[in-house]
Amino acid sequence: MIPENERQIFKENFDNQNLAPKPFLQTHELSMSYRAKKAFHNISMPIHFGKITAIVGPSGCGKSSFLMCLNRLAEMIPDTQISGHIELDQNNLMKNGACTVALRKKIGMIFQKPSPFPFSIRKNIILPLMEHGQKNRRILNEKLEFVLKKVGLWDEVKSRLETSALQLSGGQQQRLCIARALALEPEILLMDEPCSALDPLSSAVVEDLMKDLSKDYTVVVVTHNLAQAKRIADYVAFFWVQEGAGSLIEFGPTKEIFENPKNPLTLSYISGFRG
Amino acid sequence: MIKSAQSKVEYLVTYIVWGLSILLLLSMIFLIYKMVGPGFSTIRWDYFLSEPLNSGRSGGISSILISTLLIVGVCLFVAIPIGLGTAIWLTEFTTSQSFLGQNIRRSLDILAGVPSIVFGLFGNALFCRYLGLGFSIISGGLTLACMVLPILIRSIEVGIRSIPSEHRFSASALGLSTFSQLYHLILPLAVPGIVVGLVLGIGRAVAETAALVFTSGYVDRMPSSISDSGRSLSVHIYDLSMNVPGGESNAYKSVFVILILLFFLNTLTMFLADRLLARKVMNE
Repeated sequence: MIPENERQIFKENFDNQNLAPKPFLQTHELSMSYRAKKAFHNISMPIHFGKITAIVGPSGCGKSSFLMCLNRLAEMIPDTQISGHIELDQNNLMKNGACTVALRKKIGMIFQKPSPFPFSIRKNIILPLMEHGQKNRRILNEKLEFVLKKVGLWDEVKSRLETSALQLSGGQQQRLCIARALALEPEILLMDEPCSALDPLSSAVVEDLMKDLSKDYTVVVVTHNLAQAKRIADYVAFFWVQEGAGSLIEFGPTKEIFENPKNPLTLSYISGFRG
Repeated sequence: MIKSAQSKVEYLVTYIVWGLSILLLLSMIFLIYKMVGPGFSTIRWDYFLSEPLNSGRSGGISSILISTLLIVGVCLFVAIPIGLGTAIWLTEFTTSQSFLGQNIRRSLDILAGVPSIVFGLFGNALFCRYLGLGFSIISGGLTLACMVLPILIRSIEVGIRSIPSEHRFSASALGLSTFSQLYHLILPLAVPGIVVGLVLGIGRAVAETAALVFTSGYVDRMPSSISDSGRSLSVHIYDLSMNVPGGESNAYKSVFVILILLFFLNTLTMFLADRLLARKVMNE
């Protein structure tokens, strides 16, 4: 956990762009391979505190795999090898003894396909909280209401909290999943194309929500949608397949990537010539 | 209306499918009628409550019913925890490619096809002689457990594997421990597989004859404990129809009872699985 005063300093640093921001999460030469195939290779990139970082690039360039490494979820996939390390608050996350349960409480994740559990709406949010030791019914109910309000779902579902979450529409399910992740009070939210399985209207709602969330959370979002990245992101990382493995081609503030890219590949991708 | 060649074929296929289904249904009805009919018309309540007399030609089947329930009970008491545990281990703690997992799965598939007489001889050698349990209900129950386990494990495994991987990923991403994933999510969602495994397993256990002749014996008196010998219903039916002249009418009654018993046990299984596990999830 970062102390509140330091968090304030971080924010101020970003607000007056003069000081070089210190990355909150940093990967160092992170590589992942699945059986013999490399997913991505030697990726070193910073994730800045309180900002939205968008990862863009064509399909199969290791964006989602990279995201799943950040909360060590990629280890669940059989036959994967991961090397390099990830630093969060100067702690190496890849250390063998590091507690994944605590880590995943700190780093929430939203998947491409909305995946609420086949429980009631209430249980979807309360079960992870109870798992992490919260037993007080009053606090649980308060948190339930708080996070559902935060994702703008409260008015839509408050009268049917006991019905199955699977009855909700796709967009509502995705917002429920976001609420479920927020209930654990994470510091970082990883979002793997959270809008791509939704209809345009729901997609717009979720996108606004992401923008809103960046006030309180550090967000890393993988997206296919360049326009979306341009609209919401503070930083953009551009991935491309090089020598059979996903590589980080360019990283920088959104404005710079879109208006003045340094790498010719980035230029041709953002202007639609390639990818 | 113009009928194309394609729609003619479709009509034909529809008729064939319907015809085959009706044929199957009729043969089932005929079979059940032939089996149940003679027993149903002559059975009385005291048949369930009195002990067999004169090698089963007269009297009831109370001792045999008790032995059967005890044997099946011992079998399930041993097979359910081991079966669930193994299925969970195979799905959650080994990958489908691992050497150990693959070989255990292959062995189970082979064991599922081994004739029951072989299991009977194995049970006789291991439980009755080597472990000194003798001809007893517990030997019979343990032998049946060995027979039922392959089917049970493989059905539960298929049930667990059919659960979409998104659930596991999102549960892990929320920091849920393996135990609570299993308890809240995986096992409740695997109920259909668990029920299939149990129904097939119970069916095999109740129907088993050959393996029990070698392990739990065939005395027809009331067992005094599970270390006593006892005769199961299927052994009773076999004995009455093959070795006891004049036993057919009581054999038919026992056939009727065994069908009722199977129906009852299967219903109970579904009810309990629903009560204990499936209630934890809401599909719609």
